[in-house]
Amino acid sequence: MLDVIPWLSIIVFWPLVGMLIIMFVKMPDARIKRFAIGWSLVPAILSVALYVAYLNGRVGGIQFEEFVPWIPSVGIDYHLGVDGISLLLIVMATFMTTIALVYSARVIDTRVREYFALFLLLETGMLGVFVALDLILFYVFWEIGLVPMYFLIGVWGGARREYAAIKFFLYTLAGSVLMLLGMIAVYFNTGTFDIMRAIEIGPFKDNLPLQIAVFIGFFLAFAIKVPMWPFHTWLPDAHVEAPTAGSVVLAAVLLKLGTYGFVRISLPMFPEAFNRLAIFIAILAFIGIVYGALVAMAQWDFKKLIAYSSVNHMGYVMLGLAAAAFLVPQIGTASGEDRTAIINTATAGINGAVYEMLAHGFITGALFLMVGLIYDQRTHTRDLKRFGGMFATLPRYAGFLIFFAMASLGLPGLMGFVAEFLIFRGSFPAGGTMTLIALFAVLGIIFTAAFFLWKVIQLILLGPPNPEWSEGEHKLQDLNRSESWILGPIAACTLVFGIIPGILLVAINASSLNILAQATQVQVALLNLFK
Amino acid sequence: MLAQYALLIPLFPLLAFFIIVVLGANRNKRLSSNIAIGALVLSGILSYLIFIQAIGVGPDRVLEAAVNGEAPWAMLWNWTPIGTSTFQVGTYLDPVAILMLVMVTTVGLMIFIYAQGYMGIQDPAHTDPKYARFFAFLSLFACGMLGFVISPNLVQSLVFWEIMGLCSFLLIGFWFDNPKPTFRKGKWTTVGVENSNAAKKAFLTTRVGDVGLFLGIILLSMLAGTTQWNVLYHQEAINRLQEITVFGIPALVVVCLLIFMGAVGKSAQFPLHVWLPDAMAGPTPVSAMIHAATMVAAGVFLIARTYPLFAAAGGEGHSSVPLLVVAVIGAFTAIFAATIGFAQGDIKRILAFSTISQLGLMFMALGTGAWVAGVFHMLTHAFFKALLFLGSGSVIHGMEHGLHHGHGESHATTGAAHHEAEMEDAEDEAPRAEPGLKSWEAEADDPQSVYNMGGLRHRMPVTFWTYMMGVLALTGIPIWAGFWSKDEILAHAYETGQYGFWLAGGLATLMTAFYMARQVFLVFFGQPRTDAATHASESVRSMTIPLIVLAVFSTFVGLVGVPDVVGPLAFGGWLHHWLALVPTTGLGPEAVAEAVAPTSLNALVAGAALTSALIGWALGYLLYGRKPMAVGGRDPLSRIPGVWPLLWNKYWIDELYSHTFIAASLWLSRIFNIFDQQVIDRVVNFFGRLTRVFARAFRWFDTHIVDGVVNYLGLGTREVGQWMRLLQTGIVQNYLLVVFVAIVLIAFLLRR
Repeated sequence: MLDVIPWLSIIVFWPLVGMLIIMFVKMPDARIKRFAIGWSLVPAILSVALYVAYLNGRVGGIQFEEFVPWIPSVGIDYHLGVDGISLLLIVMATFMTTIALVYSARVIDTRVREYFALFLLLETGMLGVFVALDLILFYVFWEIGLVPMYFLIGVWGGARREYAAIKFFLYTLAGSVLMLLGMIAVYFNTGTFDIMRAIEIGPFKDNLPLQIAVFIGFFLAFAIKVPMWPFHTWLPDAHVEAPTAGSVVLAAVLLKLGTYGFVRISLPMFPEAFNRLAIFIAILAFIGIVYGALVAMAQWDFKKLIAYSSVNHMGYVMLGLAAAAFLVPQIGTASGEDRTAIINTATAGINGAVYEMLAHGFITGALFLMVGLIYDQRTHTRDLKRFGGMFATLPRYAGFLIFFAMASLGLPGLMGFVAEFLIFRGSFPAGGTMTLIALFAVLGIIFTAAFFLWKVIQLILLGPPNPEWSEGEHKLQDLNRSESWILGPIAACTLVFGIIPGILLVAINASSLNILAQATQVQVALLNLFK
Repeated sequence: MLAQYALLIPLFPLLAFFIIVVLGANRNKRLSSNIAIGALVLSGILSYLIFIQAIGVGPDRVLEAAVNGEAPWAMLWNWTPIGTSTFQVGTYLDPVAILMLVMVTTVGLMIFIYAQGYMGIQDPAHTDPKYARFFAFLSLFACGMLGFVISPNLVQSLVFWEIMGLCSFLLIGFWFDNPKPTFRKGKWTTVGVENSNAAKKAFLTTRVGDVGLFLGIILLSMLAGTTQWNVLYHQEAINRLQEITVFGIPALVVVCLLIFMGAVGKSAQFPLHVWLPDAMAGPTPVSAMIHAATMVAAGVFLIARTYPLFAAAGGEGHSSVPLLVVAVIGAFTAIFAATIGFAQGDIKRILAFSTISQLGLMFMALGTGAWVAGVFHMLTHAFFKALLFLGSGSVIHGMEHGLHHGHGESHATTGAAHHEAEMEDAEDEAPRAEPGLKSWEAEADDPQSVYNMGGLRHRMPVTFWTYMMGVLALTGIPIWAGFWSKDEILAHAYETGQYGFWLAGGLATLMTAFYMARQVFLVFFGQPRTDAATHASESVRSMTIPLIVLAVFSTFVGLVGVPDVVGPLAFGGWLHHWLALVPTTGLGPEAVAEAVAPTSLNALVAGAALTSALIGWALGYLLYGRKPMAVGGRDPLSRIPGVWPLLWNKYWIDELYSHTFIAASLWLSRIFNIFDQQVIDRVVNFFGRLTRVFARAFRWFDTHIVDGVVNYLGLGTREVGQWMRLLQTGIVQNYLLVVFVAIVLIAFLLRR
């Protein structure tokens, strides 16, 4: 009975319906806020339930598939489905969207109706990308997500919001046009827009130069979205100008669309091309890791610093994926114990990349909230030179900030560590050049620790309290109960998934093996391995 | 069977942390410290019960069970799948881990009890405002160490290892808000900022080592498929590992060196020793915690734990390169740090360099193959170094009391109160001019400078006598704990023919005796050199009782490891029987078998060690004891030109690092930031503008060319039409003529 209900469609379009209701039903602002929050809880709860159901099904495979021919004349279908990876990204995305809405309700007072309507539209776009199993559908959702974010930055943003919004929009659009070309190329080669069918057929299997060309089309779209170095400069601008909740969702979910594209499309569909470019991509990832951390260290704007830390963290994700792609051909040629070891290493790379996507979503999302809580509601400055000593005056804020900073720099016991460990587990033993790249990428871990300790924890929290904020009319209040309740759930997730990663890795691991199997075209042997 | 509940041991303090921080017990200070102490007492009871149980079962049986992964000595649970394998967590209790549990809970508990008095609970008006937070962090610290000790694999070890790193960060920088102005590195800043700098330095320096450990763990888990002790401690696993090479180097060598990097950072060995002296910025109980029970001991324990890998790294018939590296770094650090210890003025800083030096000895022991001796020295050192730190805290307290008494101000009795008073003082004190101090002079009101002390044995008798027990233990005087463990290290080096290391150890012993004698004579003997010292007073009971307990341990704990030959005096070499089998189980390399062989008391070695200690004491007496330093006097050593500034400035290694690594990182960070804005972003914007230029060009093209063509066509059609009109004459003959011409033309064109 439950099988026939199109759960994924419900989750994806639920926010869209909410948007229509907000737009066409007259409600006072306060009601709109409450409604949007309550409405967004439904997909959040549903997706968690769906994850539980997923674990009871064929773990690692695609479940909850929906298939309706859409434009049959050119073979475009409405094809949805999720595996462990996309489902967990949906769980994270819906959860963080709700958090972002709760925060927005506190600070957004202009054009409330439009804001919340756009936010829900954004959610539909993001979720759609994660469930789409048809290239054109993927593309449509990809573009849907773009528009509301453009307006969120452009209307509710900071001083240079228009520049930032247009930069964000055009940059991403430029990438996605190339992706569309790539999709059309895949169609002409395989005769289908269906992602799973195309992977089975293997586009341009025997024409490597063309495969690489098409791969690059997708690569540019995804790399801009991730963003990989050197396509990252839209990110700090967009983050700095975006309203806090926009930054939260941008960091937590929108960036993941790019890395998700690599996992869902690039790796299984163009394994050869990805493999040929793996070292090149790993080098870009390495530059992103070290460069991102160092540039973050040079920032004096709290929010910009966190934005650059995203460049650093997304570099880890790409390193893990590149390492997996690097190992793909060896899986085919090796045998026996060696083969198992290589499969374990490659899987660790994908697992780590996916885990970092989730961890970064929670942790960096929370860090942007930390910026908002101090900037929007307290000091109205993000200048790191003007803080100090808040560990004494704002102990609760300080506790959360230290917690999330430590999580972000990869303190063991928290989520970020699991991700980093798996990524380096996947890349450092990969052999050859990849080992060297991973070896140097470890420097990023030190630099990340350095800027979090110095710029974030020391300058904001330690030292004697800055009298500007500790006394007189601007004396700051510590987080109140409701503010703690915004951060508490994220902190809980970061801790629980850091201590008991098995809850998530059960599904991620099986799905990663599946993707690896698709990439290596040795499904049977591989799938038997983990049964 | 209690051993299966070993997981509770680190969980109790963790729970205490959560109750204090999250559930809000922090509103009641005394409740907070009671919770923290209560939790540690529970951990301690459980540890002792497990210890007793293990004695009943017998060490060999315990070890065998642990190595084979059998409950209750090894508890393993599936945690998460990785690729095609499964990762396990749990607890692992072998004899050495059990011994560590007992040591950590005992020493830890003394530190906790002491900390109540130190942070001023007895005087509500002067209790540290962050008192509850302090005990929460201490609890988390204890959790880190206890969890580390019982981890069944390297990954879980790393988790707890880093928890300790976090706690050391939080606790070293605990007094981050002290606004007292101070002059450092050519500019005015506050003590609080300096404290937070020290915290940051500790975390980052150890992190450099941790990165090595991190890579080592990853490499090992790739090569061996696991990092579980119960797999790695088996001969087959070791044999397999021995065969693998990475880039032409035996893989085990790489793994071991990477793991050792972690230990170098955590145990403050050269060249990553720079953080530990600065870590003095934390309240004294924290120093005791870091230097004795936790943190630095963790580094030694890590090497002791992974010893089978180190021993096997040489392969058949070759000496192990990693072990040699461990021994050389250890021996070098032991002497290097001791020399710096000669020329420090801060009572805690002297002890800090002493710790670094002693840790060097422990690593030397492990590196030369004296496994039991290394562990033994770590255990005895934990007791007497905790004692010395707590004792120095008591001295500082007494001095602070004297200072305020001398000033005729409030009778502050606690460090916390002093800290508070400083905060009050500082508000009306504008930064003064650059102080014109010479390198050996102390600020007049510095309660930690040994130059400001003198004659304290009369003012603080309990502190003095207990402190002396610690000093005797540290300097290696027979009966006291340090003698036995240090002697064993030297004896092993001597008997295995490693004379270089034997001499290095002997030299370190001499130096240790000298700098401790210097400290003791400057602090406790002679006449008080300042008002503060004159008016110093003994500390409260909650501080002195832990001192007494630790003094008893420091005196007698060494007897557990006394060689058999001494007979009735000792427990018949109990420690060696207890630890005998640890790293040897199932292992071939002779180096390992040697490591645990109980060393008999070698009269020559023992005599030489004692002689060198006595020479050190004698030198100390000659320079500092015979003619005590007078008020305003000068440190005799400071008369040595060239050497003194070098030692006082710790060989300028801090300066070297800040001008190379740190400066380079900052420079790179700035350059990259400029590059980001001026190059990458410019390029992006250039493309943006290019697009706009194209857009304009297209618009022009559109209006003038595309539209133009269309318009032109439209226009053309009209003109053609007008021209054609001329043809349309209405005369049929004309039309026919045209048709005819056209047909002829076509026929002509189509002809073959």
